[in-house]
Amino acid sequence: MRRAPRENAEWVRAIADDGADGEAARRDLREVLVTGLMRVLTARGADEDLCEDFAQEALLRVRERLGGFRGESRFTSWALSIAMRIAFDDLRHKRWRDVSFDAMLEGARSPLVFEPRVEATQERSAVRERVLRALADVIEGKLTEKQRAVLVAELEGMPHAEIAERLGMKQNALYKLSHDARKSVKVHLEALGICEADVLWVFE
Amino acid sequence: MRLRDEQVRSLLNASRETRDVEIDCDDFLSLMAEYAEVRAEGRAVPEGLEKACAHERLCASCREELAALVEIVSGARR
Repeated sequence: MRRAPRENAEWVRAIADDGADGEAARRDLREVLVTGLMRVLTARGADEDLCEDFAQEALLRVRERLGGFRGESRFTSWALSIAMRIAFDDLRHKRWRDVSFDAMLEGARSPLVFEPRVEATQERSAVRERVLRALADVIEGKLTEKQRAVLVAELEGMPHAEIAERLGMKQNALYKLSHDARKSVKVHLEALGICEADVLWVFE
Repeated sequence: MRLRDEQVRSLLNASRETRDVEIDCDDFLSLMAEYAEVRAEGRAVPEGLEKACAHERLCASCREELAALVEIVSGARR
């Protein structure tokens, strides 16, 4: 006979349990995780074995972080969120591991140039020119070399986990660096009176 | 360094979305399950999750994970 679905408190108690209850709960949670992972990762090239590995790692992390579950969602959603982070970090790492970070750093050190484009009107051309000049000023004049490197890597689509690893930084420190760089850009554009409407008009 | 127009757009969008106080990817993970359920159920985002919503607009990695989780949670509800 199939057992009734567990409530959150029951999941938490059972997952922490070292006896038969815990074993059954971990088996059930593992099934939930593998099913969820397969649903979203098969199309991304992950096979069942890899999903099983992700689920196993997620189970360990769920047990470690059990005290951090606040009960604001279903327990299974929370466990799946942890599995998603593990799986996507791994897949992104495999996608980016052979990309040269040194080439990006080199790019970040070279003078900034923009894609040439002919606008439909002189007015649009002038606004585009003004926005691009402002961006060049702030990127070349106000960002640190490290901020520029992070900015370039982000704009090339490199994930934060990967950039942090290449720079030997913790991810939250990298996020702060990225935030400060974006903030500098925002403040500089605002100081020059470049408004959202201008930007949308030319670049959206 | 050569920036394509799509990269300029991306930078301008990121700059526009930048707030004085933001959450990082670890903070987002701690809210992701609750946020995914809100999204899967089509509910309005409650005040406590607005910071998750703002982070989602800025971070492609977290956006990708959230979309996958919403898909799973939505599937489980059907």
